[in-house]
Amino acid sequence: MDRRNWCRFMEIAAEGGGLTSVARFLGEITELPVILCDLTLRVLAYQLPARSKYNFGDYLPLDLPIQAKSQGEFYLGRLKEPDVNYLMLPIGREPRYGYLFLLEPEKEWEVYQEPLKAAALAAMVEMSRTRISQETERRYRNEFVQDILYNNLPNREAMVNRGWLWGWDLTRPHLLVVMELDDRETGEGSKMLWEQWHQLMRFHLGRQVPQAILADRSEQLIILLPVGLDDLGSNKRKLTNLVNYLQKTTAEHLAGITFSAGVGRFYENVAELYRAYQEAKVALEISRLLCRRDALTFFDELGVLRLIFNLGEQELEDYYEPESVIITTG
Amino acid sequence: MQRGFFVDLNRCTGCRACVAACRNWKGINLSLRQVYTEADYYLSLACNHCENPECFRVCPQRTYSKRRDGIVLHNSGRCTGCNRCVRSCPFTAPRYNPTTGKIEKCDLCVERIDNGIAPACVEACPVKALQVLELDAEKDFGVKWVPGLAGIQMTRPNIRFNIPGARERHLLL
Repeated sequence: MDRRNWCRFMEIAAEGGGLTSVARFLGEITELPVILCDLTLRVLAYQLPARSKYNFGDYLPLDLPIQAKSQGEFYLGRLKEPDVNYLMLPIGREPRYGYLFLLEPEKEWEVYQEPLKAAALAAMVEMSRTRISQETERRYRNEFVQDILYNNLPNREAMVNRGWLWGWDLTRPHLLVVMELDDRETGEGSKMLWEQWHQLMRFHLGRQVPQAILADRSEQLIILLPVGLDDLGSNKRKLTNLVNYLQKTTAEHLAGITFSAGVGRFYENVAELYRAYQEAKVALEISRLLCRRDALTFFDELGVLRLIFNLGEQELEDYYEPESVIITTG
Repeated sequence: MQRGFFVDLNRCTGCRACVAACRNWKGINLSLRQVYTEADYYLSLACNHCENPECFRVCPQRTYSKRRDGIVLHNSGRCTGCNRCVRSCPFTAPRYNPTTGKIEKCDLCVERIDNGIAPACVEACPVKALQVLELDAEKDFGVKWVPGLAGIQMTRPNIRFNIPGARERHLLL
């Protein structure tokens, strides 16, 4: 590829031209459809030739993890719908930011290597810049939410006033949900999965309930949902619908991955949310003990399980053994 | 960030210097740290500054809070001595002080920590069996549970242990 094109990509990145400019320039050079996606294959930018009739929607029609034939750092595969070949280059290695696709590459796809590398580098600069500001915002948001949920603020007024700085109305009561992936693994693969899930939930929650507050801690997602006092009776139903929608979305986009959720009791005062947070985690943990997956558990529906979980192991064993003898001999 | 105790079970001799140091520093006649004798080792425990502290959940007075560095604090100004936290903690960390009628709990010597000094129990240990570390979820050092410790699944205590290996027993005579 011409050195000037390399320089042009770097200029776009340095000027903050955005992913759309990167996609546009790559489309001009290659004369092929270009698509830039994030880790969940959500389309961030694209450039389609004038004659093209593609219509992808929010997501590229491809399953995760991507099943494609590796050619060094490039991947060759086929989209399901439309049924076309693609040439893909991941954007970034560690960390990974997303994927860059060229559709309908010719049989001698090696000619596209240099343009793709240059475009991926420019896209990485853009995405890393965005990620830095997102991570900074996320860190401050998490810290503030943690202060609320761990009772670190002196009173309700302090919470409400700081909440206004974020554009949050903390005078309204909030429901609290804690969500966690069902299969907790360790290693690089699980970090990527967690990041993918986080991005997915952030996007879809923002779509469904724009006023919801999303935070994360210890590989759990915490959602604070503002509710109105006038529709208290329907809160559980709305929450159930929302969580079911998020579970369905997760399974669709992340190849059958599931998560479970716990919900604390309803408190009118935001200063009591610290209780709801602990209750939500207890509800989630009890559903884990019962080996439930893809579950939504309400703390106030746990019944006697709330008493049993507090008992010590010795007491439980003492109770269990005589009962099991009765069952076997009875 | 999450601070927590790291207990080297290979080193602890059960001398209870940590217990005495804690009492001296706090100026109370209560043991906020306990040393339990198990089959092969001594288990020195205070508050584990849990991720899901039960004391925090059950307290009706909003007495407990958890700092950004993970230390769980008890605000005695709000405490009414109802003892709900004492009954709920699986590690018996909160202790009722009959003199004040309020609860006392290990706070990782926050006033020392904030001034860059180790907690009294850590400083007092003659064999360096006790440390305070920044426990990062991504780093695995030590184990989270040993026999003698209550179940950790619900509360997720922030404590790590160096498990005892095959070694000679040392007796303190």
